[in-house]
Amino acid sequence: MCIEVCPTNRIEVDKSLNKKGYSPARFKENVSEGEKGCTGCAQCATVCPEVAIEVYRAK
Amino acid sequence: MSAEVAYKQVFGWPESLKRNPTHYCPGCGHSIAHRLVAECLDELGLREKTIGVPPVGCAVLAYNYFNFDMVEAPHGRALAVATGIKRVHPDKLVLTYQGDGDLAAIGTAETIHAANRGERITTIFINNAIYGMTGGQMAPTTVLGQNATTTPGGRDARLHGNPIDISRMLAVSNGVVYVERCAVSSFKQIRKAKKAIKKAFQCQLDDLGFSIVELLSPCPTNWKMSPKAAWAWVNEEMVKTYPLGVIKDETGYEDKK
Amino acid sequence: MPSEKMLMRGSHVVGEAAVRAGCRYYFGYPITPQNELPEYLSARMLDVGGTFIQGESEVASINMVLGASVAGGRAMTSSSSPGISLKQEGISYMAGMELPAVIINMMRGGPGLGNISASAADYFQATRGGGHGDYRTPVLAPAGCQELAELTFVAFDLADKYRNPVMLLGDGLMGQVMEPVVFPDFIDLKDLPEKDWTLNGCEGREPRAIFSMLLGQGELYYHNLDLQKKYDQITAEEQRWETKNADDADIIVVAYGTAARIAESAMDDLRAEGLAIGLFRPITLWPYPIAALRELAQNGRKVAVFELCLGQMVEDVVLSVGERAGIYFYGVPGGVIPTPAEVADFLRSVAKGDGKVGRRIEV
Repeated sequence: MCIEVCPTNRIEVDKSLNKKGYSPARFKENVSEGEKGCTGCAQCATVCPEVAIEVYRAK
Repeated sequence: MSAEVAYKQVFGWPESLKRNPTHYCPGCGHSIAHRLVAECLDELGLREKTIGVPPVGCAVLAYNYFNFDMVEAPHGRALAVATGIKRVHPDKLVLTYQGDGDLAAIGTAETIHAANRGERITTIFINNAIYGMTGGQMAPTTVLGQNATTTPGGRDARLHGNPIDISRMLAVSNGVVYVERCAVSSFKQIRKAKKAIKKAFQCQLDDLGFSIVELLSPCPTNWKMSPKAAWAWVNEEMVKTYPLGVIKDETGYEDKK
Repeated sequence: MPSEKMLMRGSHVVGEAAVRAGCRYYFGYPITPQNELPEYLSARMLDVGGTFIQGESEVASINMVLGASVAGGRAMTSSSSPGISLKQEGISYMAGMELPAVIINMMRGGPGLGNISASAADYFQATRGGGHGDYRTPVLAPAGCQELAELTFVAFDLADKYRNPVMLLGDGLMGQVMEPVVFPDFIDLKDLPEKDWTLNGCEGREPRAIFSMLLGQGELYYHNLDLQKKYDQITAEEQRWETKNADDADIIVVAYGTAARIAESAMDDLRAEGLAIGLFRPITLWPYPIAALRELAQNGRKVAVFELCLGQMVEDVVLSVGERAGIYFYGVPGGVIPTPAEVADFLRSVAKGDGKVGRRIEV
């Protein structure tokens, strides 16, 4: 759900499998040319059903 | 994170939620609802004053997730149990967290009467229009045409009765001061749901009366949909039977935007 | 200090005794023949700052008791036979969750809606479940208003001591008659032992979760074994009974509650005629005073069981006595209260062995 809502497209599916056998989401660390970085809007964390995301904003 | 920039955390694990992985299905609304309840309790500083009653349903193990005092109740009886607790501890925050079968089928009498007595209790009502734990039977809130294991071919009004709108029924009672229906199937709705839950808790703190927040919640597993499709079904289909919004508000609180 | 002697109706006696025993939470639903009890407590609870709720049903009421109990209060509910049937789910849950509670059953005629007269046909329901699962509830059987008062105190103490629901079994007649009563003194709630397991908000401690569902491997198995240890302890330490004229008796009448009062009158009449009748009156129906009854069932005695039903306690008598003595039974169902003369006829028939009144139980 986080991938769906992220306005700056910072999250992608992790190709590896986690302990439960799912491919979780993964934050894209590298910002490519023309892309905005993460704005700390926390939409991802708000919709995540697993409370799997913590969000930090630059002060 | 770079070393030169200072960061502050704007979203993290709430203290009122234990750090246990949940057993809920992918895309289930329970964990979001749990998190919202926990966030509100944290923000109001209520964790150590809260006593909760979980349902019999998928959330029966909620005491493994919520980080405050909890007591199991027989199916449907949560509001009677909560009444007993609140009468012993009127200064504590007493909440029930119930599904559609627990609250509006077997527990209908206990729900209506606790609400009607104006018990200073807050109920978080998770409506996923199906019986999850037992494998997908019809719930009182299953909508017409919706498939369930006990409504082959879809719910039919003559054969199976109409879906029940318990929140609107409760709103008729003078003991009930705040009823709102939200959903946990979109970012916007989740934000609204959190505000509603916090307001409902405030009703109890201010001794106004009974408050209930109904949360339309996806059940991908028993609806036999992907999480994405399930979330869409709530937003596009379920709201036709269960429109979102404030059903009753006698709190007098002004909403902060 | 104890009260003055008062003339009071049985249902009121229970209410007053409960309040004096520290009960501050009553939840109940009206049902004849015990309506006077909630009516009494609706006012009396206000006197002592307690809580009275007329619940929307017996089901709701037992669950309110569950809530008040888990929150640490001394809580009580009352009903009569059909309403007690409704409470079985809650009682089973409280047994599994180890919660104290006092449940008053003023029995009436059954099954089904029955009638509103006194009967004693809920023995099985009280002592064998009547809810699901492997649990027991101590059952106290008073035989009049004074005992109603005293055993109410005992009920709350047993409930707290063992963290278990406890049932007090009266009947419609006992609830309605007025007898002189001296109440034990008020208990100071502060003197009650502290409960370190209740839910009162997790300030300064880890949160507590109280539940009866145990899905993990072996968890429910061990929990049941632990509960059984508790029941074994109650069986060893909490049996209560009374005997009268047993030492030289040829026939021991076994009866409880109102039936015992009638049997006692019959015994007194027959003693005057020269028949050596004795009375064994169980006061705890569970744990049943098996050994004490077995002790009496020897030396060629006969055991004559009299019940206000068609034969429930008699099974416990068979378990206690076996083949040691001839067992006879006379029962009156349906809310009919026989006179002592009727019971005397039964006992004369037992003495003669002619089978004319009541029947011999084949063991």
